[in-house]
Amino acid sequence: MITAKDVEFHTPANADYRWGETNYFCLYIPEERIVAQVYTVARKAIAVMYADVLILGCLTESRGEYLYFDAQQHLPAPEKFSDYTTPNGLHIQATKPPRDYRVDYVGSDNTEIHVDFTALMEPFDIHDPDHSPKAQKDKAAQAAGSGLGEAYGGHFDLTGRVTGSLILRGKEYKVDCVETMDHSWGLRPENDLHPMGWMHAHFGPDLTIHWINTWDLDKPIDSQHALAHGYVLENGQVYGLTDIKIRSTRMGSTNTAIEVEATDKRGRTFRMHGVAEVGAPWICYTSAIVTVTVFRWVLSDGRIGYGMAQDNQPLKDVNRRRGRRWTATQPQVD
Amino acid sequence: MIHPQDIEFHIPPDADHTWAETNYFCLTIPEARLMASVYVVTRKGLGVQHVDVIVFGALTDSRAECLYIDSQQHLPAPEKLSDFRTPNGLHVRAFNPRDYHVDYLGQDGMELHFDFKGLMEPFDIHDPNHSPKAQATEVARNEGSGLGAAYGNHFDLTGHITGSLKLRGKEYKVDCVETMDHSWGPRAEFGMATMGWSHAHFGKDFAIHWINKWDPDKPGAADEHALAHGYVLENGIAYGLTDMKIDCIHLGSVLTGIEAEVTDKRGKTYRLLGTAVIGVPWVPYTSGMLYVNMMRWMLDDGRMGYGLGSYNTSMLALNRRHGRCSTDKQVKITS
Repeated sequence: MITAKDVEFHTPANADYRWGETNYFCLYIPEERIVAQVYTVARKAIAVMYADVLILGCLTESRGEYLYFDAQQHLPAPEKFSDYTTPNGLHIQATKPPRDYRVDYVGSDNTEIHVDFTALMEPFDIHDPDHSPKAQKDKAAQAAGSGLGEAYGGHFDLTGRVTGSLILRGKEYKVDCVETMDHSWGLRPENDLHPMGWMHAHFGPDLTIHWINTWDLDKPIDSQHALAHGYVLENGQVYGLTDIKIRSTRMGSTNTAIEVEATDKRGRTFRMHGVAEVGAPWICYTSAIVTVTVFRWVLSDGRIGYGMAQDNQPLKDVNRRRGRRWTATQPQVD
Repeated sequence: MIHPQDIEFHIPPDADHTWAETNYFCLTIPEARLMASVYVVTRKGLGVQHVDVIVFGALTDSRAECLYIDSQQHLPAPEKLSDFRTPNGLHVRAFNPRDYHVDYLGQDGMELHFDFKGLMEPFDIHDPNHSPKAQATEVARNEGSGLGAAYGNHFDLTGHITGSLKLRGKEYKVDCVETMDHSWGPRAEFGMATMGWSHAHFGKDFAIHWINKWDPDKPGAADEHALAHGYVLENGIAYGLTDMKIDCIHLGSVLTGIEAEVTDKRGKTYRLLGTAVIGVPWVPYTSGMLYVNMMRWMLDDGRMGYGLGSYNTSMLALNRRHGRCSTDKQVKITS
């Protein structure tokens, strides 16, 4: 169970450079097809923080086509995680811990973000059996089943309403959407992250489907993913997922379409199809290929929703499988 | 001029998180078309070090096709720069500003072991006895360095590299000429200068090295680049460059070719043409887009050589020019 004190750092006495604590926030403006996200990784044992602000406006496989990107690998770690300011103009505050947050960013080129995140549920603790039917008892099993190993040693997901404004190169956009944030703490070795996905579909404040999926790169393409943890949020109540079937269509590293069938602990099954509207490769770890994509979802009852979907592939795993010598057959002929 | 103590950290009392010290080594195995690089960025004001080891063997626009990447941005900074070990298996020793030894024991049977022996005195870009483009004031030095204040202090050094590379258990002998560098100064991550850092080596007796500025807003590819600093190394003597003309050919993010004409302080001019034989996007800075390749160079007298070709752009500069909305025209049409 997540409590108010979990918005602070959880730095163990023996923490080394691998111990990482992360926060992720996202907002989407469907009518403009603009997505913005804020990500921080603090490594308190070496007093460093990574802070990353990304704004996208199209589906692309080139980072060159971002609308805005301010990623800084080497900033000083703040004292507190509940209320911190970074040298590149980011201010994150837990206003009503652990549910509600305020995010302000004043960057370059007249670009700003000012949003309130107001939770629509209690934080979903993936290791609490009252929350997730996939929760495990001991630490080793928790890490094996978390979706991201020990990096999710402590982890909660939280769907909320995001309201406020985005100013992109001087032009202001109103923000009013439902999205999902998270907060993780644990051993996060950069060269040993796991292939996985972290995705959600929001159909207004009353219905959200969120999941973390594993990704076995060696399985047949239509059976590579399995449920780690997830939930259905319906009318303020959260029902942990017991199963999920996912089939992704990818072109290169871009996840362009997803078919999902998710079953919650009530036994209710939701089927939906998603098409990528906006997305790009995102390098927040120089050791990984991550893509961030906003999907437009259609539920089987016709409801339309939106939500962020992340794919994470460690370069170590990818290079083992796809590393190419010049003598090999050219893999792509257009 | 570079002194023996310059192999150690240079940490000013007011160093903050932007102060950085970098070392770069690379090696080529032309007959196998393999290239490896070792790069470290240390920020002693913060106590952190980025360590990056890559090996590549094809011309690609995808990091997925690298043969090996071990890139860790959050490692603890070592005490000394002259002799340090990192948690991911790198050990770098500087015996003096000219000579180094690098060992790396990575994963999947990956190892690097090589000696770097300088073939010249380190080339101090801010010493007028070395570079004809050296400037007298700090502001002018930073403006003309090619990478702003990040090259506030910087030397380049061409050397002979011998040793071995073991890639997933297969061992390759290394015997090449390549160029390393060492920089120290404030290195803000956001909005780094757009530039290139390249070299062409024609055996131990002759090399051409340069840092070029790159203004993507200038009209015409041949006008975008200008000399920051560089040298011709001939029989152990470095002659600073006074002028350079460069035309870079890009296919998307891939640097595929370079035509260059360089003039040194003796007034001697060399023309050379390089084609990329292998190369990859390289991301040591999440705020930048870099491309590194192994160029095969042909000098105007027919000599063949090899060397690193690279360019560096900031995401800030790229996104200002190329940022795309879903309502904009699709820019890439293939087939």
